[in-house]
Amino acid sequence: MHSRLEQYLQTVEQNLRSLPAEERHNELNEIRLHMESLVEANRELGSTEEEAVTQTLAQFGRAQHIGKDLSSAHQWGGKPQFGTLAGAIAFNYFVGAVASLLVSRFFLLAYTPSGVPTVFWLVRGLLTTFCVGCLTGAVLPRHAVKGTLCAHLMGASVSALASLLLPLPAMSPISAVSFWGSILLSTLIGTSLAMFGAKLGAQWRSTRVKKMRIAG
Amino acid sequence: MPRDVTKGDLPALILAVLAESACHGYGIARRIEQQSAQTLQMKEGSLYPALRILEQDGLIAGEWEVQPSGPARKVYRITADGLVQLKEKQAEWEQYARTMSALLGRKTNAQPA
Repeated sequence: MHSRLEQYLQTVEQNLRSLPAEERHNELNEIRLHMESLVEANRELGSTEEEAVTQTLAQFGRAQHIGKDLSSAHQWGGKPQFGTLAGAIAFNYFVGAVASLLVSRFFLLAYTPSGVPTVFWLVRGLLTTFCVGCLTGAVLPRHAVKGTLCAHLMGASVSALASLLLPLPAMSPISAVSFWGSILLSTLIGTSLAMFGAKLGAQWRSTRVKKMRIAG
Repeated sequence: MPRDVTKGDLPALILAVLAESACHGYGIARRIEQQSAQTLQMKEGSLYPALRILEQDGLIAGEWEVQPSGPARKVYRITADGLVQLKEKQAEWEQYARTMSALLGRKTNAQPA
């Protein structure tokens, strides 16, 4: 294959790293065959090899855009199927709530909270969030990432509403900024970690299903 | 006058092509080109994200098939849900075209002030 076409496919591949190896290989193979046919057709119309490759690359569009669009088509899918999406939201929301309660209870029994550094509680919370994300991905791979994001947005909205309704102790502007800033930051990190977990869980499930199909 | 196919219109065009017969990516691009008398132009790479979304929505089904000549290719077929979706899109488009021609027709028939 022509080196410029190979280079093009490598750029597409760089954006498909999140896909399982077999899916990535199939995507690239399909595009490769299409490009080879296009080069052949352009040559039949009288172009030289180099001209045909240049025309093909122009007809195909930017490799980076195609790679990104393909990756997001795999990650986010098409229109949401509301049953599956609602299932993923509910699963993430309720399993997350139960897991947080269980983990808090376990750690409260195992340790005395006084003297335990705040970072420890933060890491514990983030780890729980990540694990629940992985579980959501493994159980409901379709729309797991979207469902996890929605569940976290819902959770954050409920918490924000509760914070606004409940009387907070008087704070100086600096304390208020640091209070709300830390909540916003931990929510952002937690949501990102949970979505990453959901993606990993869904990938694991998809690889497992494929292996079972091949074995079967 | 050549026109670029927008991302929003591409899925409907793919469904229309596949409603006639099963086809692979390269074939879909050629048929869109031929049936529009080369009026519709698109970046052919944009076919693949659109095909993937249609596949995930269950509107088309793709399968790798060995070809009589050359290597195996992924061939796409429209599903029953895809046909329903295509009919909806056709109805939407006809409605839009009727409205536009009614409006534009009125404008061209109007006398200048």
